[in-house]
Amino acid sequence: MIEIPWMKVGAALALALVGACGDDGGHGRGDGVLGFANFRWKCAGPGDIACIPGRVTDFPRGVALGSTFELSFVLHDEVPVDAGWIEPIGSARTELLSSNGGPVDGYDYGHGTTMEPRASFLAREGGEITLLAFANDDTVADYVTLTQLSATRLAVVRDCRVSACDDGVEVGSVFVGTTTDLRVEPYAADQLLVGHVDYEWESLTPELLELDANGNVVTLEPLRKGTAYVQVRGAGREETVAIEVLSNVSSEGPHRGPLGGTEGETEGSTTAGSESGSDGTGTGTDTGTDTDPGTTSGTSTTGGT
Amino acid sequence: MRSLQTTTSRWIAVVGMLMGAASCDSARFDHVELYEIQGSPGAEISSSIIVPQGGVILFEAFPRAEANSVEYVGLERFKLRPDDPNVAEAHRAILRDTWVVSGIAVGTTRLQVLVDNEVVDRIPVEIVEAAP
Repeated sequence: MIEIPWMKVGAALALALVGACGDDGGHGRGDGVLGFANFRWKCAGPGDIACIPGRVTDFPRGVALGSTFELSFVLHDEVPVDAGWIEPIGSARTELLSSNGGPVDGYDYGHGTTMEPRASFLAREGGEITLLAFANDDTVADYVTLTQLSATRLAVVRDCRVSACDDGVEVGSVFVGTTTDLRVEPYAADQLLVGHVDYEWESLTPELLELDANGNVVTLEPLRKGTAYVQVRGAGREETVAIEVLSNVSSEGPHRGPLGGTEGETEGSTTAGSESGSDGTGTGTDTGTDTDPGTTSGTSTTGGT
Repeated sequence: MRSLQTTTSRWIAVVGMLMGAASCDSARFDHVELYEIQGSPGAEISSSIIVPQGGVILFEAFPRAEANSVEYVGLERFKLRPDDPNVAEAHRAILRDTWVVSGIAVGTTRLQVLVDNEVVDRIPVEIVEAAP
């Protein structure tokens, strides 16, 4: 009677499943030009749109200029040699930042089972680039071409991974007492650009809206009713969006208590001292509206007058 | 002296003469033939190998023997090596007898054709600006 090594079978299945799902979200994959390798886009950091599950499904071809990006590859089964490493052609346009070469060094303990050489790069100059996939016998097994592009616009849209909402649509309004996540997406014309970008988020009306930023995602924490402005900078661009902060039942009128008992306590959490008491009449009138983003800056703003 | 043979638009042979090889017993290859397989937009093999900066060209390369000499059988140590690796690089590709030349920087160089460690030819290489 043959004894089935269930432990080994289970482990093998688990490894196979992890490998099939991709190591960090199953981002875009694409065959190389020669058809011998399959290239895989990796999440390069919190400012990489490719890190958001489902946002980048096809193998991306456009990289944001100035961003860092990361790729790996596997050779197809019929290729009789093992995968080696990835190299860009030249360093003027694309700088190799780090590289894991060979099936042993390429083993990624942090993301599950991968036997994939991977490397990270810095997109230094615009234009088409070629990345060579080497086999471990020093031959070029395949290559892939990408285009490094300047972002022409930043789109700020809702991010609905935490709470249910219409993902990817522009935010028009938010409610006091609720949080809303936004993300920024860099585009060159209509082409979504991948790569990790260091974004800077800023609330231009901190008396109305505070931010908790992490990479390309920001959590809005509305404080008071009014028109708030959020600015994001990155990829050589700057985008400011106006967001209407609406009061809700619990933040105005007779049911203000849940927010902290008194308006003064709520106001105290803001950085705009001149705002204190402006809404203290309990009438719901908020003088912090229509703050001009062009005349305020960050936490130094005093809000409306 | 170099001559050019064209078979099809994609299959172009570059014929080179052995350098002073006529009377040398060890130098029995008198030209190398290059057959383009694939390349970046703008890459081609004509009288020289032309590759855009940041791009590649993939081709087959066969040393060809002079008359009355044994043909290339694949057992020879055959290698392509650029004079200036800051302008272009050459790598053996995974397919048999195929090579990849990549454009590092705009400029010109020559690709040394080595058979059994002897330079039997030099092929001009031109790295050009990539089309916008």
